[in-house]
Amino acid sequence: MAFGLLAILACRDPEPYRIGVVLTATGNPGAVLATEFINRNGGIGGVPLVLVNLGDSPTGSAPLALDAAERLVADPRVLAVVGHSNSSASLAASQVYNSRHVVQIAPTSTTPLFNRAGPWSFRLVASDEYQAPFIAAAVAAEHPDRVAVVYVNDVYGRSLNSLLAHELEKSKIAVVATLPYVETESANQSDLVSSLAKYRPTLLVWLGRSAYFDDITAPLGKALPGLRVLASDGFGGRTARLDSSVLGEVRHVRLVDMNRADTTLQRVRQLYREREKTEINDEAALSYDAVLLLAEAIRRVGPDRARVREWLSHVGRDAPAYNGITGPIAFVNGGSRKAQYSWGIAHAASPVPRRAP
Amino acid sequence: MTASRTGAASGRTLRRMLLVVALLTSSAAAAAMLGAVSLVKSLRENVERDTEVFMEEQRMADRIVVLTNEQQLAAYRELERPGTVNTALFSARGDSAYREMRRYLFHELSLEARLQVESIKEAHQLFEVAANRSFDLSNAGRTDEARKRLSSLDARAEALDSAVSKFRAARERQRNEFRASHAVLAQRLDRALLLVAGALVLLGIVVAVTLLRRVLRPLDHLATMAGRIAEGDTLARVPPQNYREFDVVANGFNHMAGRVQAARDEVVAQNLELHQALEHLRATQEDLVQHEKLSAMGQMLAGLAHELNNPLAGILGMAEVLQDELARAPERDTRELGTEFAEPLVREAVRANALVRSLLQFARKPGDVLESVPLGATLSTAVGLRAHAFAQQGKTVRVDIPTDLCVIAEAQKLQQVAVNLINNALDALVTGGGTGLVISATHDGGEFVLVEFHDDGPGIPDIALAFTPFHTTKAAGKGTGLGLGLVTRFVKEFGGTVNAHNVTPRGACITVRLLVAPEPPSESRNESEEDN
Repeated sequence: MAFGLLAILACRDPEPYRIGVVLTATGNPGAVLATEFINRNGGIGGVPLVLVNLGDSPTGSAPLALDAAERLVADPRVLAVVGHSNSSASLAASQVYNSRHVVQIAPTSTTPLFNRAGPWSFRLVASDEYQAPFIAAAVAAEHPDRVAVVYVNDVYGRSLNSLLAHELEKSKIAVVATLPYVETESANQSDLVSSLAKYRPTLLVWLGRSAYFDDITAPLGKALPGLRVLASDGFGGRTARLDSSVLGEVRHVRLVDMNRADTTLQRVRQLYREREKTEINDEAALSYDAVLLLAEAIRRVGPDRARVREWLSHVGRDAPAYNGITGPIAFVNGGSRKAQYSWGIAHAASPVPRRAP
Repeated sequence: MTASRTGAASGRTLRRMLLVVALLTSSAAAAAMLGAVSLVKSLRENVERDTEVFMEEQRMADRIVVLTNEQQLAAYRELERPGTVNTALFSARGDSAYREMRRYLFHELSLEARLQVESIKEAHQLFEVAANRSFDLSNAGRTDEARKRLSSLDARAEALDSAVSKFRAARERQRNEFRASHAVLAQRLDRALLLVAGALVLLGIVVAVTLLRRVLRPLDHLATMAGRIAEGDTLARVPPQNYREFDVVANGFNHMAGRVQAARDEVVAQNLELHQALEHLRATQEDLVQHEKLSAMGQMLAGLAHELNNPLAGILGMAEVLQDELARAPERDTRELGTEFAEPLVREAVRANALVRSLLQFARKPGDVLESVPLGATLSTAVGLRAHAFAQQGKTVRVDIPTDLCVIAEAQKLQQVAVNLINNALDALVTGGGTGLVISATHDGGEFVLVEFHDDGPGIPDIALAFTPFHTTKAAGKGTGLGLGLVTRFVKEFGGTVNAHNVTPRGACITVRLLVAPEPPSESRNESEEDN
């Protein structure tokens, strides 16, 4: 009887490893593709990987992020979390993960404050301390007459705006207007456009996400025809839907060079395009790598939260960098990745990324 | 000796035990004190850290409240009187408030507190955007529109105030909880200190009990044994002790008790000797008194005997003459008179003369000359004097003495001793029945010769009185009661002793103990020393 019981226990499917995922609808497929890839290839040491997908709000609401984080850390089977989708949510949730000792890999959180999130928080992008001079250089290259800055009034936009203002000041580029907006408020979109039009900028630096920008594209094009737009990485977090008839192309910072000669990246792009009927974005590609990286950590050190964190802390430092589809991953700057920016161009319906100058 | 008796205590010394107890006690006390101090320090540090964190959070919370209030004030002033000063103040206060919120969020917070701050942050973001929009309208000269927007700004401000008020209430609640937790902590600290104090008291009790069992009880036992010794129980001893020091004391005590016991035994023995000496002295004194009595009696008897001797001699001479004359008378009647009267007269005169002679000998002072006398020859002579009498009575007498055995004595007195004892034996054999007398002598291997006069007669009726002068068991007129007295006196003069005992089944044995002669006798003395 005992042998029978042992045989039954031995024949049971192994308990799958679980990774929490808190991403937007466009970023989440990247994690799913990575998981499918892992499980197709035998899982992690024969154990399948399962995503605990809670989804993230497109606006990065901190209260929602906290709620998701609390739910994930309450499940002891969750070994790590990939998320959240933006800096504000990632930073809010990071305190929960660090206090409960759960590894967090934020794929796209760029705010400098994330470096202070704690030892359990990692990110696959560089701090905005590097993006600000990158954008400032592009602004300078445009030789604009009048520059206006619009930033999302959260931890991401405020800090990036502050950094950029400092860089532009160093480049002696005057800013005619600096206007905040809040993504959750759509009622005052016309006020933002009218306020912006009052300053008659020739170049708009958009330090926010693309969703809100989509909504003001038409009035903005009418109020400021010929306006050139440079957007930060938040713009590429999701695919922009631009009306090219009223506004030209928008150049935005990309955290991932999608044109790099990497067959896996191209294969993933192809798979994503086929499944989602749209081009892969930064969040999806970085989430793909985040899942692969965590799977590698679990394979190396076992399903233990602390040992996974320990292993990750050595990646790219006293251990080799991990080669993901987005390039080598090395946590060299307090849990952040080395900067590797490029410019993407978004325009009507089918954004075609290309290398930035 | 001590070392050999300290087996139980080998390796265990009181000093070591006390050292161990002292070390353990001090270590435990030190550990307890260190623990208490550490606990107090730790608690104090925790309280200080918590207080510091709490105060820092409180300062940040206060700054957030103040900054957001100042920012609101700056916004409304800007709308009332547009100018760059209020806008700059608005931005500065906003940035500061935002920084404080970010700093605050990096602290370990409850989910509720975190959500509250995030709510303030979002309300603050909305308020700032609404205020900026109003500023733009006001700056563009669109005052009416700006005032219309005031309602929106008011709503944002109210939302911000509401969030801040909730936050403030939460902070107040948290402060109360913090105070309560401190009170609990202080209570725990009191308990911990009480626990430490209790542990120290318990330790003290354990140490006291240990000392009581290991030190005081052995001492009490020692005191008890000392008390028993003081009360005379010299057999009281202390058993081996667990610790070397006590064992040494116990051994010393036992040694002392042994010495006391030995001294006591010695005193008892000396007392016994003293008692015996006293008894001997009393006996000697009685002997001396008796001797003096006898001496006085002897002198009196000597005088009396001397005075009687001459008349008796005359009477005896006359009686013998008379007897002879009567015996030679031709008449029968006259001869019969001789036989009937003269002969008893002579016989009684002879007996009276013998009695007087015995009295003279009894009263006579000891002679000064003792010499080596051949025992066998001397006693054979005495036996020869009485052999005819034995034969007449049908009794036997035999001498069994080695020929070379000599004793210290006066030959004549020794003969008298033998004659008296032989006569007594013969009288006993005649009156009480019996076959005869055997005289034997043996050398005891030392300085004495034992001479035994052994008869198979009826034995001596009262041996205790046998040697008392004038005591006789013979019929009246037959004995004087001085025979054994003379024997005793003569033998004492020789340096010997006389004892008598009855023999089973019948008979008596007189043992004369005489000093053996150191050398063979040079000549025999046959002279009779008869005092007239």
